[in-house]
Amino acid sequence: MTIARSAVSAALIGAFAVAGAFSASAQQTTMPKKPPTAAEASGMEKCYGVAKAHQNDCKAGAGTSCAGSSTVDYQGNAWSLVKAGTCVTIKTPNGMGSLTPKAM
Amino acid sequence: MPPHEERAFFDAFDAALSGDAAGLSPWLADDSTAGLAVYRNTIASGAVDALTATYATVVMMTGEDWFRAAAREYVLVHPPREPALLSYGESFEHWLSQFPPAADTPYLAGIARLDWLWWQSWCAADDQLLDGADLAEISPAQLSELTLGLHPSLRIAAFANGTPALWLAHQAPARGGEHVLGRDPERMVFVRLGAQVEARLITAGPYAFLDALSRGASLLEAGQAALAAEPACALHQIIVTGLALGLFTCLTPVKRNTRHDN
Amino acid sequence: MSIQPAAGLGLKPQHYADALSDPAAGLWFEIHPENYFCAGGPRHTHLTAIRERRPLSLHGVGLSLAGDERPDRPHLLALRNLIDRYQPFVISEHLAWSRRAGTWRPDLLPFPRTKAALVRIASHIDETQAALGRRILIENPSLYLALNGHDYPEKDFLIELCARTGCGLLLDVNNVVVGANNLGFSAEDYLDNIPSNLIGEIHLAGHAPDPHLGATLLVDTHGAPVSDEVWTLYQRLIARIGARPTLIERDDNIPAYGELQQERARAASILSASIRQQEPAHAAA
Repeated sequence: MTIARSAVSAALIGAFAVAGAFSASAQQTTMPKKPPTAAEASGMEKCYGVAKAHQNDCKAGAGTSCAGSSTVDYQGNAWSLVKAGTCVTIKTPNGMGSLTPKAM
Repeated sequence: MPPHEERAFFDAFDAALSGDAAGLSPWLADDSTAGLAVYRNTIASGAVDALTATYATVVMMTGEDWFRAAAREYVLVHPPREPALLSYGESFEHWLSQFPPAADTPYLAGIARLDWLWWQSWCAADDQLLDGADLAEISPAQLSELTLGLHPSLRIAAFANGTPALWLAHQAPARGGEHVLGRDPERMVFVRLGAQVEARLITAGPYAFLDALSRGASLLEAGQAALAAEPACALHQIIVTGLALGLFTCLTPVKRNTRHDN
Repeated sequence: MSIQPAAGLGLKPQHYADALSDPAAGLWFEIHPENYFCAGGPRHTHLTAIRERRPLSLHGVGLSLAGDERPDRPHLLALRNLIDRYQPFVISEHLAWSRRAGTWRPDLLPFPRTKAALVRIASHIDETQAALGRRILIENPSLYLALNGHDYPEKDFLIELCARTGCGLLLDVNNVVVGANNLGFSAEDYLDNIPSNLIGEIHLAGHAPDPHLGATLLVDTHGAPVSDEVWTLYQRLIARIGARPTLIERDDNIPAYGELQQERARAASILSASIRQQEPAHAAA
């Protein structure tokens, strides 16, 4: 489908006329949100998604400074473990687990 | 010790890390291999910990035990290829999509993709933002000659179902709710605003507009793409919201394909 | 260094705000540069703000200087960019390896300290110092495995590397304690025999007995307060060599900032006592 040049042109130029109200300085005024405090996080931390993960630079960074032990703690087998979601209950349109992998 | 024996040590040590310590025995001063286990475990946990942080939303959906067990298998196939684990695990999404134990939760790979894009946005370069006033000078004739530079932290993703809203439901501090995975296509934009990564659902029009710009299209072509994808979309709203979110960095001439010169 | 040797803290993202407002005299911070190998974003914003007020040290963990491959060029370039951007007062790396054939093992791995290894590692340090345009310090790693085939004890190997390359040493007292325990050597002997003039920085950290094997195998977890044994050895070391920049290293099980401040204050008081003792001697000289 080809969209008429004139329609696009009119819409864009119209947008640009009001765009001047947005100066670059106005855009960056959003202050960084405080990371959740320990009190807020207790009991609620499971639902912060990635927004809190970046606080952990050992685990997202070089890694070598966080030594393990001689006890291998990776005997878990994903085939035998049951997934245990910790945030919200997820329902798929056809009931849990019945989506086809092609859906994405 | 001659150089070839030096190399033999590293080969043997690597094999020992993978579980076959026989070749390392000439270098082992005593029978205890507990020390080897410390190295092996530190290496595994370093990589798994990095994935656990990077794919925090996936962790929330599977629980940590399942995730770590799965991540351990990924690490064996795809060890880190960079010293900074910050950028480790790009192929995890694809791997997860083919990992049989994840088959009953087919949305996980998409969630992994969104987690990855969030980090990409969070880590991306800083840049100056376009001043909206610069756009007021543009004449209709220039629309096919000019394009908008996109902020380095901008990432977009399109899904055939409601994976983005599912991901968003895991980013707010409210637990215990219920979320129904939507059937309709959804699209997400990530951009860093100040110190925060903003994650927003967008409709087909703005998605097509940003997608076209990211491929170097002119303003005219991007506008046409937006209207083709979503005839009812308001181009002025895309521009104004885009400016407010800091999606644009500059106004530049379109780089045309050099084919014409050949 | 023109400033007095003082005590510093490993900088963690959880503590950015506390670090920025900490008024302690002489306070400096150390980071793992690999954690800042990103083009931009909040991490750099915070680090820039902190660097405006405090000296910074870069403590690398992934250069693999003891490996059998030359230092990774992109890695050196990324380091150089950070150095240009943040002007650290000291740059350090480990006597260990982690990279082979394009993959990294996120750990600090051991090797036989042979004559060939000495030549190889000296050339890697030369190459690194040339690429960075700076002298670096090399840290003694924690040891967990008794290897055959060493031509040198570790301290002699480090001293020889300094002689050949002009690098200095970052002496990690906790690593000496962990290695001495695990491999059976004397921590005092090790520390007493490192020439004072080579030591550019000291690390103090906590360790833990292995949960499976107990105290026969100590693990350098960086996840606990500095142990009494390490404090005692540190005091003895400072009494011998004088004050040196000293870092409280904590990378796991991160406590509230105040707890780290207390550990740092303990190191700072040992350092200032040493400096006070040295002053009359300097005045007389």
